[in-house]
Amino acid sequence: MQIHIDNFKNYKIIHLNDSRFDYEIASQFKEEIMKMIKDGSLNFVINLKNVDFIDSFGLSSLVALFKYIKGNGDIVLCNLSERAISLLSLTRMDKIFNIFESIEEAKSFFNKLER
Amino acid sequence: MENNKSLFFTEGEPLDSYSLRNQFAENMEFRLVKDRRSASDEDYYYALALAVKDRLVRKWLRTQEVYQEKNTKRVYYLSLEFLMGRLLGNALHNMDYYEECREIIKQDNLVLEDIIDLEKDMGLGNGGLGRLAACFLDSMATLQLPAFGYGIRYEYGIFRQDINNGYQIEQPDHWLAYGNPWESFRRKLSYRIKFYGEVEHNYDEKGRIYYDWKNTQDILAVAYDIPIPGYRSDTVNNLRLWSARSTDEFSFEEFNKGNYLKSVESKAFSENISKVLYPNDSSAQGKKLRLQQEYFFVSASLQDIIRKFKFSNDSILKFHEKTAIQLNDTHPAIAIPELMRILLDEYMLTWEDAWNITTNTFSYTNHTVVPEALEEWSVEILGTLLPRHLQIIYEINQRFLEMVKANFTNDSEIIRELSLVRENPKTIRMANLSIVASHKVNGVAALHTEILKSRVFPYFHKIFPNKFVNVTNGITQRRWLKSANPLLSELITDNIGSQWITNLDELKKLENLADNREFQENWMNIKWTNKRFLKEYIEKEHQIEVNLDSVFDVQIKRIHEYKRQLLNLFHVITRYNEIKANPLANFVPRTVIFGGKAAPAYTIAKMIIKMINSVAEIVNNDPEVGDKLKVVFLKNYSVSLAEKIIPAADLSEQISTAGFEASGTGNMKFALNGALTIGTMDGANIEISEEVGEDNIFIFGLLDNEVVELKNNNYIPENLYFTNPSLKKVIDMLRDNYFSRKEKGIFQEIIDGLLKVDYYCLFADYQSYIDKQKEVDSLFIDKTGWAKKSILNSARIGKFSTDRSIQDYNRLIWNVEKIDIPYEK
Repeated sequence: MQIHIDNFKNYKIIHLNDSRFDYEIASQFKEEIMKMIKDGSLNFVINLKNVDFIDSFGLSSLVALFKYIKGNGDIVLCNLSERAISLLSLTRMDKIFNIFESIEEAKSFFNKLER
Repeated sequence: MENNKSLFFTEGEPLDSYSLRNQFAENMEFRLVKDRRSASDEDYYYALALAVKDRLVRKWLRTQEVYQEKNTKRVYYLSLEFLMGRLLGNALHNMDYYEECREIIKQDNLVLEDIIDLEKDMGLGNGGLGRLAACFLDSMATLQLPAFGYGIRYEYGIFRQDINNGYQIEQPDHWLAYGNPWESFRRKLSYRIKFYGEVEHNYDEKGRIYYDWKNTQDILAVAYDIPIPGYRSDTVNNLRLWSARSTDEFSFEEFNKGNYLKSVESKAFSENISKVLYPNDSSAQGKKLRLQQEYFFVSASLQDIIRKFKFSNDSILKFHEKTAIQLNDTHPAIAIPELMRILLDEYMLTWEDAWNITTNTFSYTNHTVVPEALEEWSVEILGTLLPRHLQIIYEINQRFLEMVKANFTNDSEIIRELSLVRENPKTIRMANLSIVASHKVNGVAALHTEILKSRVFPYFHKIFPNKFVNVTNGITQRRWLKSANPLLSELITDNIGSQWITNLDELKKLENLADNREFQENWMNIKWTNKRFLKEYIEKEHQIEVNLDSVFDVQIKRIHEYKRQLLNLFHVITRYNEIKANPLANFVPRTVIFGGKAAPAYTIAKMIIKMINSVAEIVNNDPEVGDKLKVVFLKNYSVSLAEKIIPAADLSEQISTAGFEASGTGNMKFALNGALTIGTMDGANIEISEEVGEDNIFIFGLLDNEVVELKNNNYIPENLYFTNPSLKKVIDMLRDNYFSRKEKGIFQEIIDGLLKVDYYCLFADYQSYIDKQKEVDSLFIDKTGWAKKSILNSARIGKFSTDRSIQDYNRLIWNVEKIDIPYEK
């Protein structure tokens, strides 16, 4: 399994274990998360720690997710490699997503929301 | 009053000391009389545009002053259309002030891009011809040429297009409703324009005949000026647009008789002349008001040009040494008899002198090879409206035909074809007039020029072998890459420097990066981002969800049978049928995007729009199709919409019937932004293919001579219909109301025309087009292969900058010198 999920009270953490976030992973990723959204989850931390390369399918799946949630929840990204950060800035995606350096910061974002 | 002593002049005090922010605030308060509570979005735009324009004024004034001081030869570009689009973003880019301005207004929580988006397009044109004129102005200013644009300040530009139940609805485009911050009204600059009346001939004391055009009905032309800044240069050229005014604001005579309404009637009549841009269709042909528009702007422009000439020159005999006038198509061709009239009747020159000046002044750009589209005016209308001009045209014709008979041929067939006058019905052929009276005639792409010489005007070419030259059209990279696609421009500049902004050939340096994986990824990620922006626009404006990973396949241009939007639609339906036949198979997803206006009287073109929307309705709502195929018709296509669409396109549809498109410029804009072209060997596609390499473009279909041959050999489209099952299915579905269940039979006329005649050879090119689209699919899956070709398209498109076009015009036709504007801050 290239995707691993940790469940918390009001959010889930999605760990992408593969170094490439491309067509193959993206379809699986989208499918899994859509299922969770249908089951009522709306807040996600996407941990990109192991991801070195993101292609346009990876990006598209993030956008699709973002659209699907439509402001009812939040998607935050964390642990981005330098390459991923420059990609998100190049594609202006850094303006859409909350981006945190570490999982802890991402967690505290949701914990604060809860309070 | 001694103006130069006035304290009101800033005398070169730097505007920087007076910050943009203050000026913006002052404009809001003192010019617009708005405060924080009452200011609307438009006010923000207006106040900022004024502040930015103010920063151009000194250079603008200085440029005009230097042109006058230097008294060198100038070029005047006469065009009935200038499709300028928006001016704010372009001005900021050319002033190299964009980033700074963005930061300054950020302090007030304003986003520059949002403000730029509020500007109404200056849509004073129909399509390619008008946009070309606008790109030319940008290049002429950037190349520091002493150039002036002249046109009409239409109150209503090209109509706004709405779509209702799939049909095009035309709405008036009142672009001036909120005023225009870019224009300066020249209060004192106005000229009298004469119409109607009669011509009397008399003899002077030396017994020479002279003509008096009298009892005319006159109106006034008043000037509005718009600054045209060159890129990072101190040159700011002028675009002068004429607006019609009544000579008397209203008739006191009628007023005194107690007839108030009648007293303002003549005013309303006169001002009609600059009221509305004629949409490009057959209804414009033969309309008296259209000829009035043409003469109105030409007469005002010539009076203005001569006034400027006389300011620094004594003898009118040298007029052509200081003046080049380019006629953008035949719309301004009435300038030819007008200049002759001025020289003969007002300056009392001999015919020979007047003719020498006239022919050395004018040059003419032809924009079409379609004989029906060549402008003709009925002798009756022309003779009533401009009686003296008709006499002059007849005399030009008589002298020309005598010369032909003396030196070339007596063949009456040929003489009839060359004549400026068509005999039955009696009309004046404006193209023939323009060819005879210009020293150069140019086509706008290599193939087009060859067709002009060999097929459209072969006898003229024999008589004047050196007159016909080619100047391939172009586009300005400042608008179509730097401003429209900031992400890509930044990537390019980071890798090869910024020289490409003024020398597009520099893009060749990208070739070295075409195989570089990291560069390819960045390149395609930017394409993806632009697609995301367009996807958002489509969802917001049209509520259609499109697949970001699909091929964005785009055809945006006027709707016309020869441009073959229908062929594109046949491919859509074919694809739809393939998906329906095998819904579980893998298909490379497609989003087919159309945009374009149909001339209001062109019923078939309007029905093509309906057909596209009808097909879209079925395809987009078929769950079996899903996001494998979507069809989008973007309404109200305009320059500013093109700037959103083009950076997002993967595939550019340039599929006109070979031999019909003069050049095309959309093809160049797409390739510049890294789209791959699917196209026929037509117009500038041929030269694009030569430049980018045939491996990097999808060429299909008949060649222009094959189209001619096919038609000469009794082409029967029905045979193709019966022998090609997938084509047959497409046609049957359209005919049998698969896409028009609620409005049965609406496409019958189009289908009948195709089966019987197929004038534009859609059936003949169908299979070759479908096969080529399959190649597009295969390549799209190969991400690296696609990226490489995309980069190579941009890298090799340098030839198609209007900077090159203008340099060609100047070398081959105008011969004006570049002028440095010494500007002291």
